[in-house]
Formats: sequence, C-alpha cells, structure tokens
Amino acid sequence: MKCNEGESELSPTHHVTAAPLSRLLFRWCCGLSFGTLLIAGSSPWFVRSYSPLVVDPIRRTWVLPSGNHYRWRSEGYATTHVGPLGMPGRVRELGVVAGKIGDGESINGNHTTGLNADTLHWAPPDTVPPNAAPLRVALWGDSQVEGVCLADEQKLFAIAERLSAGAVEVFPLARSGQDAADWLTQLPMVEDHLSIDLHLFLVADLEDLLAANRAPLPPPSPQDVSAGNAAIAARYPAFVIQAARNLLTVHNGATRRTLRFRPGPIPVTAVDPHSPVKRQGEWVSIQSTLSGEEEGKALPEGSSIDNDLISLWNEALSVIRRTTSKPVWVLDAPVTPEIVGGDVRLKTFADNHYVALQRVAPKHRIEVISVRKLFNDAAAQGRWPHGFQNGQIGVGHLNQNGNQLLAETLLREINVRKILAQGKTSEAHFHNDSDGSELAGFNDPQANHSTVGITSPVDQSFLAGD
Amino acid sequence: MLFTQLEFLFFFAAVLLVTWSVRSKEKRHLVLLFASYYFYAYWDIRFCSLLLFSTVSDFVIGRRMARVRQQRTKRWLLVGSLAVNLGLLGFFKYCNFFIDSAAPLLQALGLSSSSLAIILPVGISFYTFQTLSYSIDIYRGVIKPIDRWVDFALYVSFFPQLVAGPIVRASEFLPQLQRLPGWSSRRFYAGVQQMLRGAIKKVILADRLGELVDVVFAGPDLYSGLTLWVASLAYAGQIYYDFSGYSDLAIGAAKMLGYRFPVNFKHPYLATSLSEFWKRWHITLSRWLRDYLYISLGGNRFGTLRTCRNLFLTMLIGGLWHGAAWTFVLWGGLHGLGLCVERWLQSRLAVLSKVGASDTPFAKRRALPRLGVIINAIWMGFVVLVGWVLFRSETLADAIHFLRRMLCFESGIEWFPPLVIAAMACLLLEHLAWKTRLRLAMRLPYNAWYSPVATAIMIWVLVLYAPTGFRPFVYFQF
Repeated sequence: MKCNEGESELSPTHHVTAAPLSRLLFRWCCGLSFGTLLIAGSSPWFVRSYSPLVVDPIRRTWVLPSGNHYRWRSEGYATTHVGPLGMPGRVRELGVVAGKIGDGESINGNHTTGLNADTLHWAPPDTVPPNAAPLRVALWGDSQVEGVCLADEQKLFAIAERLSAGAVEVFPLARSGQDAADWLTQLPMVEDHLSIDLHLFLVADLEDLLAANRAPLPPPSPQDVSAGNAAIAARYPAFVIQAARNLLTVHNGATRRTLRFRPGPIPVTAVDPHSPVKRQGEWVSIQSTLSGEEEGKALPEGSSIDNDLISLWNEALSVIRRTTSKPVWVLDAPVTPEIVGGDVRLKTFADNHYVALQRVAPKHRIEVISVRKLFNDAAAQGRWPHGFQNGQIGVGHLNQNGNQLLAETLLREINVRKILAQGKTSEAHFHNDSDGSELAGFNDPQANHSTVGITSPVDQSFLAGD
Repeated sequence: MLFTQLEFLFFFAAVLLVTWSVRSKEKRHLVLLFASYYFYAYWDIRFCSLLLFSTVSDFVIGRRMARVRQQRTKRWLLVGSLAVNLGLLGFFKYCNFFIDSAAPLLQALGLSSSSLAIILPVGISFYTFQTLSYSIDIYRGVIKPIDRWVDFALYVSFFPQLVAGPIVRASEFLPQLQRLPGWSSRRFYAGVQQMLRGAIKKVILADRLGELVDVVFAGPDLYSGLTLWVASLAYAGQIYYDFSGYSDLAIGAAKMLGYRFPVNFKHPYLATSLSEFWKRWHITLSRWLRDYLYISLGGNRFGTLRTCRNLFLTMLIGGLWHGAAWTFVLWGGLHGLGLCVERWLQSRLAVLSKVGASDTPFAKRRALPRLGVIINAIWMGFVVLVGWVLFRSETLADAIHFLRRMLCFESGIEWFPPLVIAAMACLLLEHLAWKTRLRLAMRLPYNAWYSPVATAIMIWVLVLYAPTGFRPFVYFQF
C-alpha cells in the first residue's frame, strides 16, 4: 500500500547520509533557531507593530509614542509615522498659532507650542511665519479616522490640508477604540494647546457620540489595560506578541480563547432581536445591486422618535457644548455601502439615532453633516469609500477614496459656511449661514459632486494643492 | 473536532501518549476505539449511536455472510447490508433533497410537502462507503470477516479518517490490526511532517483562498468577470488544498499512530486528461466508485456506448455522493460527459493516427498525439473549472449566472487580493516543483540541513499568519 502522494517511491532519508544522534540534535537546534531568526527578520513585512503606548502630557491619554512609526499589516498595509501628541501621520512640527482664531480673539506674532521635547522625543517647533492664519481643525474619531491602514499622505488630515493648500490645518487626534468620552476628556487641553478653531467629530457609528455622557474620564493610570499592554510591547518583539495573541485569544484579540473538551452538540445561542447591532429601519438591503433610490429616504416627516432617545442625545450634546465654546461639527460617515453576504447594504437616513441627532443638534449649536448619500453615490460609480484590495472592498476601514470624499466634504462645508472668508469663526454667523440641516450640502446640486465647488478665491486655493 | 483546532493538539498528544505506552494489541485497539468515539462525540454525541448501529449491523451481516454457503442467501445478506447503509445515508443526507425536488410535482397534484429538520451526521458518506466495501468484499470473497468486534469498530470509526476520509478499505486496514505496530522514529517524524504540510495547506493556503471565494460566490453580481475568473481559479486551489490538506493531516496522524492509509491526492492539476485527473483527485473515492460501481455496471466490457453509459452513471452517482443538491448531480454529470467526450476524442485521434500512418509529414512529426494531449488538457481544464463553479454555487441558477458573467467578462468591482494571488502562485509552483528534483527536498528528510529550518518556519507561519475566523473543512459537509 502507498502512503500519501510522492511518498510511495521515496524513503524519507533518500540520498541523505545518516548522522549521529548528537550531531542530528545539534543540527536541529541550530536549524530551528535559524528558522525562527528568519521569521523574526522578515516579520516587519508581515506582522503589525505592537508599540508601547505612552501617556501624552498634553492630551492625558494613551497615545502612540511620538517619533516612532507604526506598522499596519492587514487591510491597507501601511506604515504610519507618529507625530507630536501621538498624532498618526502628522509629523510636522507644531509650528502653531500664527493667528489664533476664535472667541473673537486674534493673535499676531510668533508662538511656540510649548511642548516638552524631552517627554515627547520630538524636535522643538519652529517659529511660525507671520500673516499665516490657517483654520485649525481638531479631528476626533476612532480607527476609521486614525487611518493607520493608509500611508501618511493618504490620511484624511493630509488630503484635507493638501486640498486646501494650507488654508486649513487639521490635527488628527483620532485614536482606535476611542469615543466621545475620550475626545471630550482631552478636548480642553488640546484646544488651548493647539488653538483649535473647529472641532470635527467624525463618527462611523453615531452611538460613539452618546458616550459623551461618560465624560470626563479618569486620568490614565498604571492599572489601565493599555499600561499592561505597553509593558508587554516594550519587552517582547512584535511577532512573539502576535503569536501569543493568536494562540491565547480569538476574534482578533478581543476574547480570551477557551478550550472545549466536552462532547457536543454545542447549544446555539439565540440572537437578541433587540440587539443594537441591527436597529429597525437603519439598513436597506439591496440584493447585489447598487441603486440610488433607497438610500436617500429619510424617516417620514413627523414620525415618532422615542423620547428617551431624544433626551439621551440632548444630554450627550449638552455635555459636548459645555466642554467647548468652539464650533463643533459632527461628520456622520458610517460604513456605507457595505457588502454583507453578497448583498449591498446602504445606510439610510431613516436611522433613529441619526434623526434624533438631527432634531437635537441645532439647539446645542452643533452642525451635523452626513456623507451617507455621498458615499453611496461614489460606490455606485465604482469609487468604494471603504475596504482595500488586501482586505475586502466595501468592508472595513476608510480607504483613500473615502478620505478624499470626506476631505472634499469638509472643505466644501467650510466654504459654504464662509469660515475662511470671514477670517474668523463667529458662531452666530455660523448658524445663521446654515439652514440647520445636515442635508444642506446635498440639496445643493453642486454639493453632490465629488469635487469641491469653486465659488471663491479660497476655493481655488483648495484645489490648487491637489 | 477539527484537526486544525487547538483542542485537537491536546487530544492527539494524549492519544499518542496512551497508545504508545500500551503494549497489548487488544488494549491499544480499545484505547483507539474510545478515542475515536470521543472524537466523533465532540461534534454530537447523539450520532455515535448511528455509527454504532452501522458498525454492528455490518459486523453481524459480514460474519453471517461468511457462514452461509448458498449464494442466494449471501446475496440477500448483501442486500440487507446495502439497505441498512444506503437507507441511513438516504434518510439523513437525501431525504430533504428528494422532498424538495418532488415538491413541484406534489403541489401540482394538490399535495403539500415540507422539509424535515434532519441534521446531516458528519462523515456519514465516508464511513458508509467503508462499511459497504467490507460487506461487498466479503460477498465477493476478497476478504474474510473479522472475528473481533473491537477491531471492526475501530476500522469504521478510526478517528483520523472518520469524518472526511481517505476512504480506507477493509482489505487495506484490517490486516494492519492483526499485528501491533512497532515504534519507528522515522515513521513518526514523517507523520509529523505530513501533518505540518497538511496544516499549512489547509490553514494558510485553503483558508486564505477561501476569503476571496466566499465573498465573490456570495454576490457575483458585484464583481467583474475577471474577478470571477480569479475566484473560480482560487476555488480550484481552495478545494484542492483544503481536501488534500485534510488527507495529509489524516494520513500523518495515522502514521504517527503506526498505521498506513492509502494515497488520496497526486497533484491532480498536473493531469493532462480528465481520466488522469480522476486518477490523481480523491483517489480513494474514484477507486471505490470504479471497483464497486463502474465495474458492477459492466465497466468497459460491452462496447463504447455501454462504457459511456457506465461512466456517466458512475460520475452522476459520485456527484450525488458529494452533496444532496442538483449542482452536485450536474457536476458529476458534467464529469461523466467529459469522460465520454474524452473517450470519443481519443478514439477519433486513434483513427486519424492510423490513417496518417502513411508517410505524410504530419504523421512523421508526430503532431497528432501532441495535438491530442493539448486538446485533452484544454478539455480537462474546461470541465474541471466549470465543474468547480457548479460545485461551489448554492443553486443551479447561481452557477449559470456566475458562468455567464464570467464568460462575458462583465464589469464590476475589480478585486484581486495579493495574498490570494500569492496562494494561487503557490499552487502553481508546488505543482511545477513536484515534477522536478525538488520533490525530494519538499519531503524534508530528517537529516537534511534545511529540514529544521523549514520546520521552524512552517510552525511560525501557522501560528502567525493563519487567517482569523473558524473555517471548517469543505469536505465535512459531505
């Protein structure tokens, strides 16, 4: 009888001379070590970074250490250089505050950031050239906005700055896993330190904003999970951590692995129909097609939204408003369209959270801008905003297309609200100029195009840098 | 329990430890039998009774068959064995298929039909074929019935091959149970290496290819024709690596326990004709179908037309064996038809060769045989690839739709994941390397300098680069 393929004709030691046991053991020890070394040497090409996080003295939160680089090796495949304040991709010195805009105050003259170079391992900032008054935008969000799966020049802040040709300066303060509670905790310090003119909360899941109710969070402590992880990351090479993580956890590190030795069958857990994962009316599932019909539909006028939901949003937005007096924009950028099981699922405006946010936001002088339709239209034209060739198109994080669309939207909205033309941000003007609808941009025929409408000299400069 | 689960490592380590520490043959068989039933119960303990029933019935029938002298009684006993085995298989695997297929007819007659909530017992197709081969071989006088029930039960339930083969015949395995296997470090090492290779095939290559295949086959409308071509080629790679990986794991595990299983794959994509493909793909199944079905139907003994009919029927039933769906039946039918066409082509080419035996330059250059090889290879590629689309699609309509978009190169998302392309390149390189002297090195002899290096790399690759998420073996559904 034969064994498996190829083993029938050849013995395992064919053409190989026998060696003494001790020599064989030595050879195997050396060979196994060499093989491990090869894996260790090549792992930076394939294994993501496990950088030890540090507590940023300004932001008072766990961030990637400045001056380091961070490898992402699944979807996207990119290396991010970490700048001051742990900002991913923004490695330029914080040559800030050429003209502080906001609260009616205007500052002329040269300023430095005052960052502690020793703590941050970052070069002291240069002085700022006079007469430059870019709009300074703080960009908050989660991993979608952090964008470690994209090269630095493809990150949202970089595209926005490039498109604006220096008229807008964007500070990427987003961090994977963070929500409004984290953002609001850092916000006052960052606002002062960077002289922020506008806060942009870019949210993929609106519920991240509801976390504002938990703010402010306690300061980082050595008992934090991040502290433990940082200690591990500092001690072991990334490929060893990755291997341990794969063996000891499941769901990409989210859950500790448990072994089952009990005979089956395994009882199937029923799915909670009220699970927040799938909310009523939130999704439109269109069998394997991309149609522009469904996604524009909002909830019918006067449709009832749960009062509890309204009060939840009221509370969250009032916390945001109490935390800062600066303009706050919420950029609603969900993962839409999304390919799930062969279907294209479009996120519609008929989403209770979205509608509640819409109703409550004007009262708190918060602007809500949505790119749901823009994203869906772009995908229909073959420009999918999410997903990567080495991941899955239509699933996952924002790609360069998505960031381009978001940057264009941001600049368009800045232009619509004439913030740059005014030279300063007046909240009164800000709200008078807007009709209070997140659809303002989309009702404008020009706004539906993927490029920014050129209506003023400032706009021209937006495009000049592209 | 899957061979690629962490639990299996602990289970198998314990089984190895106990097995090799037991010196008595009978006790060792008992240990392995207990381990095999636990292995099966890990999935669903209730279905152990089914396995037990199938084992007991064939054991009893086999012994009875050996005792009776009248051919007629023997035949009735064989019919009994066939009825029990095929009855179980038919009920658990095909009941709903037949109900669903007959539904339009029943509705037309004004009768209502509803599917039954039947769970398909894992591995039923495999162990049924094994027990059938035992009964048929006794009937044919090829083997004698075994005396010890434990040995027979171990043959049916031996865990390395229990759920997805290879289909080991009684004549191959039962003689091995007559002796106590002695320890051999070389055999043990060869088993470890084969298991490692199998795990790499399954976890690194098949599962990676499956990431593209699953998504594209779920929504072919979204993707371009070129992407569909890549997905169908990727599926050809996925199913090969998945199943041959499982076979390697099974054969390697058996080897480490001191037993030998027959070869199941021989780089099938190196075949230059469809008939050769079936000599390289799932060899234990094609051998079973040939010996117990094709030959029983008459084989190639009664002319071309009967041969083609037998080929077609054998492949059709082989298709149905894979799954209770029309796509599988059509897949089998396509291969049956493919084999018939190939036979016809060969006969035409043979006639042409004889005609061209006169001194024509064409015949002198021996162009005709080469042309024959090329035509056969193209035909094989076509049948195999179209067949895989049928095999993978949920419904016939899905398959036709997929093929239409693929052949018309329709527009859509262009998605070519680099790691999937790399895995496909691996498939190509591995097949090519097998034809060269590299096949020696690929087996990693224990005293070659590169073996420990490659072993370390394989282990690290398994731990580091396995795609996340649970992916059972494709053949578990059969």
